[in-house]
Amino acid sequence: MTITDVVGGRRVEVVRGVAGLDREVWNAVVRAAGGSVFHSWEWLAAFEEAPPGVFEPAHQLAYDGDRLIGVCPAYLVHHCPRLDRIAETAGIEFGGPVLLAHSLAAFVGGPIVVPDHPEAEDVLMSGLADTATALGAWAWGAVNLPAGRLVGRLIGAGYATAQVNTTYLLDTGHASVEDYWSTFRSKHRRELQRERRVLTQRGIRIAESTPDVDTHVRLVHGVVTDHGASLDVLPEDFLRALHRHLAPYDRSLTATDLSGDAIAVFAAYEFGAQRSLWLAGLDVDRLDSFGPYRPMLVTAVESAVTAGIPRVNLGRGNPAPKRRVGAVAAPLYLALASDDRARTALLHAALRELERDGTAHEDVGNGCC
Amino acid sequence: MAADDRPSIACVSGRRVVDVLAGMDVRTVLLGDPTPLDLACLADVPLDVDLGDWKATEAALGALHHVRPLTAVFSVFDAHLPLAGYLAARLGIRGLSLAAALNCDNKARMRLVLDGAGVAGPAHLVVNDPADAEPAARRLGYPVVLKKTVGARGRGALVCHDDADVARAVTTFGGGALLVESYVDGPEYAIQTITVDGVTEVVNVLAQHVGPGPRQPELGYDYPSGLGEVGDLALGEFVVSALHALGFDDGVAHVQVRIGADGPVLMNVAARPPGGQLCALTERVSGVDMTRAAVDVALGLPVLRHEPTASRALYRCVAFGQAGVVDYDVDALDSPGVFLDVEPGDQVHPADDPRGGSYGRIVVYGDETPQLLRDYQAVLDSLRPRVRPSRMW
Repeated sequence: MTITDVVGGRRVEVVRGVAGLDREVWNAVVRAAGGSVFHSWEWLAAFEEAPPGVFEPAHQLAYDGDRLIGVCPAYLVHHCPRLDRIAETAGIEFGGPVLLAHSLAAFVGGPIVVPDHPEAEDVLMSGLADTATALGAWAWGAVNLPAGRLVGRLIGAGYATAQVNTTYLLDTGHASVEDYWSTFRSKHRRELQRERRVLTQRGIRIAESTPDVDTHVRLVHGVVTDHGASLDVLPEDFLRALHRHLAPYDRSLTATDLSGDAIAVFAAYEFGAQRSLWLAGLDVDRLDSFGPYRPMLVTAVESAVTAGIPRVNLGRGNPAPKRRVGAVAAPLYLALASDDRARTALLHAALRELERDGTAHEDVGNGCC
Repeated sequence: MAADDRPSIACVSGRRVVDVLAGMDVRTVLLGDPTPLDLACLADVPLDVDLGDWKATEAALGALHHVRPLTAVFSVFDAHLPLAGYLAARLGIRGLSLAAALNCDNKARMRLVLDGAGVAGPAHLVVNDPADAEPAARRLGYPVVLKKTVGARGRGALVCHDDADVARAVTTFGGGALLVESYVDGPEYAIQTITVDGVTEVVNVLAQHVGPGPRQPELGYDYPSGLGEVGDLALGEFVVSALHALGFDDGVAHVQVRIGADGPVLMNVAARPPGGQLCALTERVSGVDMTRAAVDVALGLPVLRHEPTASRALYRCVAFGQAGVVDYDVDALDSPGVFLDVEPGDQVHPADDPRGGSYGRIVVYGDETPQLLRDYQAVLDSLRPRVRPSRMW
């Protein structure tokens, strides 16, 4: 499906799966746009291969002539456990599939565009609305949009919105690890150093490495179930597909015990100028609390500083230790629209309720990622 | 028996609106939670509903609409503007757009929308977890203003100069999402507007006096604003662009703008007639009753106008410099333009106290500023408001 002349002569092409995307061209635009692993071709490939729900890809590509100037991954969502949970909390029943850009599983969604074509954001959102109509979607929109002008423009255009997540970002553009440590208050610095010593004394070692996929799945599922969340948000096949597809970008941290067994993991991926700590995993049979959590956070930051990565996304949930290592909260929004005034009013009421409730994103976020 | 062919309107409002509607020969469905008895007697259909339950309210009003179609739904209460927009959208009748109502109700949304449209507002950060407020304030740089994103109703903003102030403000607000804004220094103005089918008319521009302390209470207004015709026009254009960005289609608004170092900065939009005695002031100096205008716009009628009866107004809030027990000469209450919210013997707090604020208003009208000042002083001298320090404080 190709839609032309959406805005100012720009062209939007809709591609119904990663097989129709040129991996190199797509990823080059994501990098140029400052995007993270969650917009990468490989993430989308894994999602398509083993989706945590029922999703039909409908990715939007904006062109200026023959040049790709922006991308917006999107899925026609027929079933998504995370979206279902949000709908339940908000007290709304979607009357059909929702075209969403792109997934609650990702830390960030929505359109991203090359710096010299900021107008492509609106082109892509306009294309998304057209595609929604063409596909018979009940509603459309974007999820986990970072606070910013696009969110403002969508609200101004009548989209129903709610903050559904908070992620924690840390600027890591320090000249050295010592510079990073100097940003701490001395009391906090001593606390963190003591926690590290305690781990060392217990024979626990933190290193940049990835456990085998079976261990990875076991540790991640351990945390999910320990938080009382359902595994349907992170099914095993999905984790395995991501483990394989994202291997080139893997910067995971693993904590091992004296016998060399992995007891905790941070699944981290580096793409473009950002490192993202996506999931945490823990051997809940051997550790009754996530003791290595803060030392692992600090190690992740030190690693990014050393590698010259300017920003680390520490992810959702568990805010206190993230604040302690210097991260700041970054709200993420869900924005939904429809082509019917009465239906859009329902969306507004539902998302207002969701924001008033204030727990939906904590359940989804803290329990899983 | 003749059929009732009066236009029919549903509203969430108080006595003033009910009186206006009665004078306009409009069939009134008054939504209340519950409807006060005195108002229920004046409305054609008092409807007691849980206003917090939008679906139930929609069902109840929808049943009435099915039998006798409504023309519009509206509210003049901040808390119920989104509900009115929701009901209008769900029933397919006239009313302020739900998106605009929500954009005015939620201060974080307001900031995001204005940013997205390039309308100047204070630099800001939204925090969902109060523990993120201090880092956000440090990131923006002190001083900052902390606001509740919803439900503040004019009392949810505190100026903070350091981390300790932020911690106090967070405790005062008691949880919920917060907006952390850079403090904007500069004179403040209040602008009254009427928007019909997305076209906004500026009714007047008032200079607003803001008090000291963390709450920055309103202390008074002057008309004209002192900005001159060109200044008023420029400020009006700025407000028109802001309301357009917020999706304002049909309604009246009371807008507050500060002129900062880089020009006008939008502080707040209330999608309703102004409070206090500002409706009366606007009627005197601009010939428009903003409450009646809100009804006219809701019903799709031309806004009623008459000739202004004064060219200048001086409006001063009654506030105090210390806490204690208030006293004044009650005979002065018979003077025109004197309105007090406290009685002798009531306890009051100073203007710079978070619990304090305005306890009344003195408004004088005329055509010459020196005479206004003399009239105001005469009223003040006869009222002699005073505070006796109380040991309780």
